[in-house]
Amino acid sequence: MACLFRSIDILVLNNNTFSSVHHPASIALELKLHDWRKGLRQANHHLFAVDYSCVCIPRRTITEYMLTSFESSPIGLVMFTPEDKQPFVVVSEAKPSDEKWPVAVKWLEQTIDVWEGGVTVEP
Amino acid sequence: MNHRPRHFVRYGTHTEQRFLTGKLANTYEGLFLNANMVAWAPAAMAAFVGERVQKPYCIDPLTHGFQDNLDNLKSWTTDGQFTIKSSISKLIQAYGDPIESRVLQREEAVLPEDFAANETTREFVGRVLSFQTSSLPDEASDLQEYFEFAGVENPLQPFWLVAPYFYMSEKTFEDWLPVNIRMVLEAASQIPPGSRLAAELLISPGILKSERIVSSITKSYSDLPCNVVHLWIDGFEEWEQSIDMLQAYVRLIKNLGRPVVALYGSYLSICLANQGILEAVCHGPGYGESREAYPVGGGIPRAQFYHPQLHKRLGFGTALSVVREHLTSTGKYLRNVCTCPLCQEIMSSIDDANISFGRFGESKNTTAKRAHGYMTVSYSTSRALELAGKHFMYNKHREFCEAQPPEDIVTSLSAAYSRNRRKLGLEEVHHCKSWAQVLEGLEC
Repeated sequence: MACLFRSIDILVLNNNTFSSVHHPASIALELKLHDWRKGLRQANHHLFAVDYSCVCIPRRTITEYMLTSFESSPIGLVMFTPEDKQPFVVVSEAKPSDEKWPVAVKWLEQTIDVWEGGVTVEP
Repeated sequence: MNHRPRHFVRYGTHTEQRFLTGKLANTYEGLFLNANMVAWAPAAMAAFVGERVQKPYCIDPLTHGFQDNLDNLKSWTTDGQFTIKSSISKLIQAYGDPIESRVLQREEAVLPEDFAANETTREFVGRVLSFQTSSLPDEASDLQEYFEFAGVENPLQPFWLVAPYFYMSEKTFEDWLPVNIRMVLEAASQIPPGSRLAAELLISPGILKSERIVSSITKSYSDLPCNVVHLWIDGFEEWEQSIDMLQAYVRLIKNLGRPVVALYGSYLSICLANQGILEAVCHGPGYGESREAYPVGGGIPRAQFYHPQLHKRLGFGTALSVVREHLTSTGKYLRNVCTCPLCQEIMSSIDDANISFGRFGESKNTTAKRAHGYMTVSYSTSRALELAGKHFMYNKHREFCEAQPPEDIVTSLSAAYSRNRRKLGLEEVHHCKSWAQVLEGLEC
């Protein structure tokens, strides 16, 4: 999902799996296999357009430094294990974006409208 | 022509005419044309330079393009052939031997020994100069008569004639330096009376790190019978350089001991020109403040916002994080970010600074099939590219007209560094500190 010249890997709408919000929210998930630091930077960028932004990594050991990095930022950390009954585990909860920019939100909504209206795919 | 133009723009493609005409024609003083563009469309270039903009121009002969990997000169044709581009072929034919026989006929790069014979060098230099003096005038002989009648200097004669030149790195400078020197000496003996000769010095940035090589080059070039040195340091992004490299850059300019034009320069070079250390500076419209010697491919064009206080192009997301606090009203934006004619126009069209500024970030999405699914990519709209380009041109013009004393420029750069380093991190803003240090240390 394109967002301000970058791409949101997964955009979750109206779902509170990744945060304790109790109202409809938009959540960006940045998928990373290894480079969580890069994921953190990219996820930060999405805060212009979404309510919450998270980095999603495969199950791994979480270092103290890694945890502190996420806890001191608005970005959430989620681990994904496809074979588990509950595949998503929230390690560090996302905080609401205080960066949201109305113009970017509108652009994202327009992109979603295009998707919902059917996508023309270039070969 | 008594006024010496200081602000040049590199004409990259025909679509860039939108940044060089109309109101924007007043934002720059001269043009650099790439020789392959001239070879490909001489009539269009003559009409543009002689009729539409009527500004001093100079043709960069781009002779270095024939000394290295020839793949840089090729493209795929519709029938699947990877061949030398048509515009380059035309240029090669104009330049003749040894380039024609090596590159066009044998698909081999030219080497220093190809210029061993005096006769070969003399004829080659003659053809390269003749290409520059006749390409545009030949296409507009009627205009030439008009200028003669009016008694004004013919804008279709290049402002500088450029001697053929070849790229020198720290590995190859000993091979190419003697050739480059001979090219300039030969050109000096052949140029028409009253013409200005430029020696183009294209070097790798690594050369700046070697005092021995720099000294050898400056010694050779400072004695040459030319009017100006056109300096091009391969991929030298002034905003990415260490203080040592920037100081070496300034030392090189000063030690050349003659007027120097930076062919690809950003705000630091403009400050050096404003202080009389550089003769002139050139850049591309909306980009082109640095350039690799060899093309490295295109990529997706994205509108980048030139931030007037950081003197740097920023991706839209980064620009937004810097500018955002000033988007509470159009007046605040105009007071604190930019007052260029383009910004004044877009800010006055809608009374919401967010929406107005958002025009710089307008994009369109394209979804394409990839190996593992679909991927959506954002492209800048052509309108966003146009706005960013115009905003850039107006700001470059302002920088050239800046009448601030050097100490005020140092203060402004230091303030921009302090104000934005928390927001953007040191990497993004450190050039302000480095440039301030360089300008502070200048002895004019």
